[in-house]
Amino acid sequence: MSVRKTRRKRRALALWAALCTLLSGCTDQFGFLPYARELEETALMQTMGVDAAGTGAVRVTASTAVPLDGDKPLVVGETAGTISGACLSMQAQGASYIFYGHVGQILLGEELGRRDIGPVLDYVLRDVEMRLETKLYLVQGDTAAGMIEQAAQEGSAPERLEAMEADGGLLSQSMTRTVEEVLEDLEENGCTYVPALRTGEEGDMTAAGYGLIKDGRLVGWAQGEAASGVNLLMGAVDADIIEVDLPQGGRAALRLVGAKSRVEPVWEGARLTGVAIRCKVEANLAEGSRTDLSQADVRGELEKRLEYRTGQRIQAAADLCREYGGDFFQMENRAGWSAPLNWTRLQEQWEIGELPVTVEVQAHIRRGYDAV
Amino acid sequence: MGKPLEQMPPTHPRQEPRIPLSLTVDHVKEVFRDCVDFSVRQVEWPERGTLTLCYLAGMVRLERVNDYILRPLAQDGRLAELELREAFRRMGEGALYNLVVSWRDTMDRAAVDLVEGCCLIFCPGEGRALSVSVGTEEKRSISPPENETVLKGSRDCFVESLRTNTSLVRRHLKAPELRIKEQIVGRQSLTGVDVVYLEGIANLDTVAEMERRLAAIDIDAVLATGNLEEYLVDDIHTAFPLIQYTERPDRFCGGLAEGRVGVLVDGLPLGYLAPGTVSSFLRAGQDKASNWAVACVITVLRYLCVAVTLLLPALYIAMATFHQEMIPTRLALSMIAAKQNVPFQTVFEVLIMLAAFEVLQEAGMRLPRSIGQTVSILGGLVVGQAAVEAKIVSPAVLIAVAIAGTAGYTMPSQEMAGALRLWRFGLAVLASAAGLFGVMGGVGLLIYHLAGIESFGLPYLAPFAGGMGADAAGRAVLRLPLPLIKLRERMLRPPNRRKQG
Repeated sequence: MSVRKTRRKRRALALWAALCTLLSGCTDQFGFLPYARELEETALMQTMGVDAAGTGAVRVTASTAVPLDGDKPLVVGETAGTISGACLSMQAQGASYIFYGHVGQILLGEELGRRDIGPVLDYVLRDVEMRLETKLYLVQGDTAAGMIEQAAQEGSAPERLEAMEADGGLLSQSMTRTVEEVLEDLEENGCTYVPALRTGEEGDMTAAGYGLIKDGRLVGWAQGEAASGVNLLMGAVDADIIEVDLPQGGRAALRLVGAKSRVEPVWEGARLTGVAIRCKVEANLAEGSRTDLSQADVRGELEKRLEYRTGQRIQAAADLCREYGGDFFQMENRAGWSAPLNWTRLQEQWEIGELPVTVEVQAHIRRGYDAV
Repeated sequence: MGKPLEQMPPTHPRQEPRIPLSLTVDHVKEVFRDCVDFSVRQVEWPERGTLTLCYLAGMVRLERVNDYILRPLAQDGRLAELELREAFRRMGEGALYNLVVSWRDTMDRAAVDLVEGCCLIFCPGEGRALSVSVGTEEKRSISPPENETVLKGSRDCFVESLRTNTSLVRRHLKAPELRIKEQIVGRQSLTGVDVVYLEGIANLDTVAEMERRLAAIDIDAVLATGNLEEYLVDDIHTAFPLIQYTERPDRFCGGLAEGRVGVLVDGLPLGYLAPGTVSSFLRAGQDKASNWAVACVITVLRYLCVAVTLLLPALYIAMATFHQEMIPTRLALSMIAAKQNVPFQTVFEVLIMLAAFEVLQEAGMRLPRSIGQTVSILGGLVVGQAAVEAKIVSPAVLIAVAIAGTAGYTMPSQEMAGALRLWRFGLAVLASAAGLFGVMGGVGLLIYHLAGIESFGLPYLAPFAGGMGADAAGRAVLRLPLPLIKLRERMLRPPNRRKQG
């Protein structure tokens, strides 16, 4: 009994001593604990822009969303040798702690894109607050800072970009890409594509196809039909509209509701002689007066024209790979999935810049909306 | 070095016999001196002497004294013909109209009989007394349970009378194997405590251990539940309940049929079941009355509520103070807007609200029901709303604390809910010091604590720990259809595991 009492006394004494250390003022002893920050003293940055600034330096701009009280969004910017340095310097601006844990979009200026996007990706990869799910955008013909500040005049960059992300499926010329996806592509073959933005005629952000990245640098753009081709190639088509001429005159609107592409290597014996892209497209007849889809010849004609238009788009996207000599759309891997037994031979002979690409599209118009 | 003798607590006096006097009328009068309810009645036996009746007014029913004792003495001609001592002997052998008549020859036993409502009859020259049971049966009638209501199920409830409670158990479990052993606990209260179990189903080691612990209790009085519970449990250094209680006889009998050992206490309208484990405290009486699928969902929900009530305030503090990246962006913006101009740090907001919640709950329980409801409405709605509007607390904190509190009310055992509330405070403090690391550290400490306690030799976390197997753990959470549950729980170590064909 006395042993238990002694043990209990010792425990109580140890606990008391431990509690007393809290009063000692030796706060360094508790440095292993994480730092506390009150939420209301934190500015949640949601969009970050990175631009080239002088020799090797970067200009980082960050913006919050429009506060719930309707005030203007907070936009801060700083120039430094590194992104981390600029972010740290920005802490001195304003009373709040600037928190980057909620950054959902990163905009890269065109000049920085042409220089090297590697440091930005590396920063996101290593920083404790940043997330790999952050969406990445390239700014065409402008700086990221200019675009963010312009957006802050009538709303904020985060809200505008979130709206565009939500509408991306309808546009079918743009899709989001995360830092993680871009890093994976670059690690795979050094090439990737990143959605592009430009300032529209009314000064607002507009989707502008894709920027093509090779070895960490922006080498070109995929726009218009080629951008739509990228979406078809990647199977990211939700509701694109294609207008075709009707056999009996007039125009019809076909709503693309799905696309599934398959990349296959073309062999002659053991030699890789080309790449075939086979795409199945599904569409609905959205508009077209006096068009009777129950007539096989009418439906067949529409499907033929749809195949032609979508084939052109995919071909335009594939041609960019040949033009810039980069496998931006990971076609090598996809061809490998089609022929896993020839994977090694495929890797040895793969040269996308020299291989001819053929496109075959099989269109199917499933239904119309007419009540006739 | 021990304490000086004068500082040592006095040893508890114990003497056997308790009253060292021989059993005579004068000594009984001496024992019950200055007791206004002690009554003595002389009954003249014509020409042969006088019988003396002693009883405690209020404890006996006077009509029974008249009918069972005085009327035979006055009217039974066969008794009148006998000598006084012979007549006295015949009274003990059936001349009186009473089933419970006993001879007493010690003062201790006679005094207890008087207190229990017996009438003592003394005869001159006899060294013993005749004890005739004529006690009152004033007791609360059996009413529906107030705290364990079920939609489908019996409406009876334990009352304060021990014999009524044992009869309720007998009516639910008519098996002759039902054993009811009694011990007297409490030097001043002399409370009857019955150990109830089903022979052949309950583990006899558990029964023996229960009897040993009851016998070891040496206190003045068993007046409150704590007087017994804290002496029966294995570990008093825990806030978690280790012995289950119920006011429903059907649930009590269900526990006995599972192989648990029951305890009924005179004066307490509830029954205890041992051993108690975490899973048993998270089962409600309604579970077996509900459809098995519904019961499964509700039980899973109850386990989730344990996590919510325990962790939500702590997680709120951790996320709002240390890990803002865990909060969805729109929610974070909404929380920031709501917390503008609130002067307190998040941790103090939460602790203030948790304390206010406890105060309101305590106030609501102590007051009469109608006023208690008013206090709850005033405190919960009016004061809460005013506090938010006055920017003393933010709405998010109010919501987090309210959800945690409401989740705690889903616990079938209020004692379990109380323990969770206590740990909730601790986890909130740890979260304020080290964020999620603190919360996880606290949870680890809680699991360590729970894993270290036992109830009558059974691990408290059984069947989730203690090598009971995944099947047993699964059955604790998910209730199978009753026809499929063929065996009793292995963890209770019943001699006969099969419960149905």
